[in-house]
Amino acid sequence: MPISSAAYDFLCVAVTAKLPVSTLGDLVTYVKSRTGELNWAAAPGAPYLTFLEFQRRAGTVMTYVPYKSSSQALPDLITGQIQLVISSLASALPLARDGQIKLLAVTTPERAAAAPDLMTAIEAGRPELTVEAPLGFFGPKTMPIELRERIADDVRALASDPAISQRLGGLGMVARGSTPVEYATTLAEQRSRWVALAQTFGIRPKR
Amino acid sequence: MSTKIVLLGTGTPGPDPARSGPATAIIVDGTPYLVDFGPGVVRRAAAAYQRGMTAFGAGVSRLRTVFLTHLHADHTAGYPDLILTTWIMGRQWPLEIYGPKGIRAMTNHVLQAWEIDIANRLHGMEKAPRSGNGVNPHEIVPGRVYTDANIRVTAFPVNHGEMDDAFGFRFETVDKTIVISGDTAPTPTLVENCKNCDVIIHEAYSLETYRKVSRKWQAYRRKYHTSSRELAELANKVRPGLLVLYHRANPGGGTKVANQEDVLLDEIRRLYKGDVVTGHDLEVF
Repeated sequence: MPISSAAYDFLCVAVTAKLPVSTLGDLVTYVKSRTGELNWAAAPGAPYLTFLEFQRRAGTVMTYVPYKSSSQALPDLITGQIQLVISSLASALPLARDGQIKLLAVTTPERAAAAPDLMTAIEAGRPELTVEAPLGFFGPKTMPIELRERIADDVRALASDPAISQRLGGLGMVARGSTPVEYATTLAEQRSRWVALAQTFGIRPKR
Repeated sequence: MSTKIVLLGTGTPGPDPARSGPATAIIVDGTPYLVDFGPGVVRRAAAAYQRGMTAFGAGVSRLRTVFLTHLHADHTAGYPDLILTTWIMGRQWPLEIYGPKGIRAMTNHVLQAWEIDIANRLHGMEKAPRSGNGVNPHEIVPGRVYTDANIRVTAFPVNHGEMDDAFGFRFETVDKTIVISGDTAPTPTLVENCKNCDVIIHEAYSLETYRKVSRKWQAYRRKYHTSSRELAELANKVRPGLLVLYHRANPGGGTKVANQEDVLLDEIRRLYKGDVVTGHDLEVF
């Protein structure tokens, strides 16, 4: 059972340094005239579905390249074998600072403290690219609500501790606690979105 | 504050099992607002609830505020279901319905038609709460029709042939402005009301299917609905963040003919370069 969110992970849209785009708008324009020519990668699940939806709305077609994780795709992004990765900000930011890749936007509703100049997908007019990754605490089904609420109180207190925020910020995350009900609602609404997208794209669970 | 759009029904009068009658929910910070109640609306809302849209409540019993674009059956055939099922499943307050002239009479007729059921549930063993089966119909005119802490709703007249009282709605929340066209042929009021909006949910028919229907139905489409070309013209004028197609006309012949959603989408994309998608039941935007 959900107890509390603890931290939200920042994801970002990273492109190879040679790609002549610097915004999501540039990316759409560039890709539209190159149907199927460019490759992209994202972790399975929410990042993958979100970028599919981005392409559906924009009417663009890129070729998906499966990797076990988005961090494994970053070396190929540096060399230009693939052109775009939905990556965790923590993994991509050092590479961007070295000029090995470029970042176009973060996928969270608010800008990341670690990269305050990097605009959000919402600011770039691409709200469909918003992915919130609420990491948190869960307990067994039998855990009483009173206990879950007590733990959630503790998590919220920790999340508002500046030292914790700073430490998580350094990892590309933002600390944020919640009540059990708020966390359950957030997860349920996300599930609703992912189920609908999976259905739209004809994705079915393997039996 | 976060606003979500849930497509509960994207269909037409044709009984397509994949597309319920027109119905759209706008959910603002956990409060649901419903627009139109075509056949299947309550079951689609229940499906959305089961997928995680908890705002509807178990048994779709948390609905309170409803808007209606016009009185055609494909947009209203779910009305008894909306009133009665949500009450039976636990709704404790009356529905507030904002719709065209005639919604009051329709409400009274529905309640009268089901008076035996209502009496049985009120006075039999169930002892269902009287407060929940109430409906307050509000017959609207163009202009601001509803405001609360979450949302501001403006109704504007649209052009749906001889259907005199037909409306589109503009919904404004803190983070989104959404326009729902209702059923309409092109009209200047849509251009005015779609300005600076994030999402337009608009009906349309494709010109390819238009060419396949009889002259009578071609004339009907021109007078009552919007072609792909006309919709692209509108979109080019107002440049929404996202254009969502719903109430897509079939190519004549009802459900016997496959629905070619890609044909319509391609026709619009040839003329409009912004974001456009075909809406499907239970999609969330």
